[in-house]
Amino acid sequence: MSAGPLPANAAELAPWPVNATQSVASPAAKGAAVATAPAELVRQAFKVALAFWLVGWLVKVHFFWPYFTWVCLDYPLVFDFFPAWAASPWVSLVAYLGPLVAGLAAMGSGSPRLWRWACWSLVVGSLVLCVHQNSYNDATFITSFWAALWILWLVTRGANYGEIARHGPLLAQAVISLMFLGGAVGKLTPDYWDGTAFYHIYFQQKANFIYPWLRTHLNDGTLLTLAAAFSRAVIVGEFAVAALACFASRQTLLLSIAVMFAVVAISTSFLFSVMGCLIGVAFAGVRLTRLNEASA
Amino acid sequence: MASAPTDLLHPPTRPGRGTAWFYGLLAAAAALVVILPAWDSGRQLLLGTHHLRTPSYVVWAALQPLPSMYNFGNQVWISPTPLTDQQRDGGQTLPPEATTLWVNHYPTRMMTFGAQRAALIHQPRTMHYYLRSRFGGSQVDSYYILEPQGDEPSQPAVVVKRLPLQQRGQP
Repeated sequence: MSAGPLPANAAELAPWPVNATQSVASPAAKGAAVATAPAELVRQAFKVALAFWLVGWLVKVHFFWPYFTWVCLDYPLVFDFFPAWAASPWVSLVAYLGPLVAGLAAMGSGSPRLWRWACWSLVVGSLVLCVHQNSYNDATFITSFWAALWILWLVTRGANYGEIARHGPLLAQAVISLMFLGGAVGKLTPDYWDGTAFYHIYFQQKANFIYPWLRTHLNDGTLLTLAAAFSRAVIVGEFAVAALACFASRQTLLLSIAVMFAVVAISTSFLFSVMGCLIGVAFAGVRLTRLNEASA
Repeated sequence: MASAPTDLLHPPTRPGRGTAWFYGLLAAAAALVVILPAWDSGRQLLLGTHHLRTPSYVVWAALQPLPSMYNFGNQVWISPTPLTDQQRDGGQTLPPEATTLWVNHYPTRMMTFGAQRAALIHQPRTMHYYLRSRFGGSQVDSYYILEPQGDEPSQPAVVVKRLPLQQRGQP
């Protein structure tokens, strides 16, 4: 991975004090200054967000690759709800591969121009897959779309570091909170509040993690009680993360990261395809709070 | 890249155009997520997106970016023979070849996605899919049949058709 376009002039490093005992010309001082230069912080934030975004898509590549290249091509569905382009297996294949190729190229590049092009491909690719017959139901592409918008916003700010510092962490938290808000509101139904939905989806049907063990050791009544408690905790937790947008800070972003890792842990590692891009945005937002701290 | 230290020390009080646009998009999405479920027609519309039965594809596509993970109580019944209301409601036992399960979202995924889709091709007969989603006081039931297309054996395909479902409270 090559280094990004670091600011060469001393003015951009000025907001970050350098230890007075160190010579400005010393390698240690130069290294410390470069590490906290605004362009470097933005570059790091971009790279971490992009890396998590790509890992989110790659973590299920063992499923998506044969699905897009074999099942969708060889086993077409004829369904008049979708226009031809939104049912074409080639469109879904290109929408999946395009962002991966562009994103991987951007990961290894220091060119902001390439970063912007790659981010556009992330946005367009995930949006196409959101509305395509072959992929509309996978939440991966909804979270990826919003995360890609945030990354695109970041790389199109140029050198407006004040704007990035002020709005980057808040927008990162807002994107994450919106995803949780959607999840929480859609569960305001008796099937979730009394635990019936999670009882069936997780406690009866899931074959991984702790659920098979629970089925063999607990009776149905206990499982249903457990499912109700679990379900209500999820709803409250999702609303809590949604509310964090009102208090966006480094701490709320770190809390969001912890919650998202916990969500992956209690479900399946495949859920990282949904949460990975949001975790990346959160880490990037945390990184950008360094800009805020420096300018405070 | 032109930048001055004052940019960070004195950031602009008003967000730039792109930033304002992004805030607006997020706010609009959040408003839709909160406001649409407040009315029965809004809930029906949201439930319809998970059943692929909105008034048009354009309406459906416009609602797709709204986050809806693990939304609604969704049940699916799959059977090689048509099922009655009583069979789906648990009043009568299901035929041996019929299956039922709950899904986290988009019950239509059982027809269009993943391993289920590949398996369809190897199913040489028509399959009946009954979908039910509940949200608040609203419920949407849908009935699809999936027919193997037999006229082109070299290029197998499955035709998806939504049929009207006569049921209590169903429009």
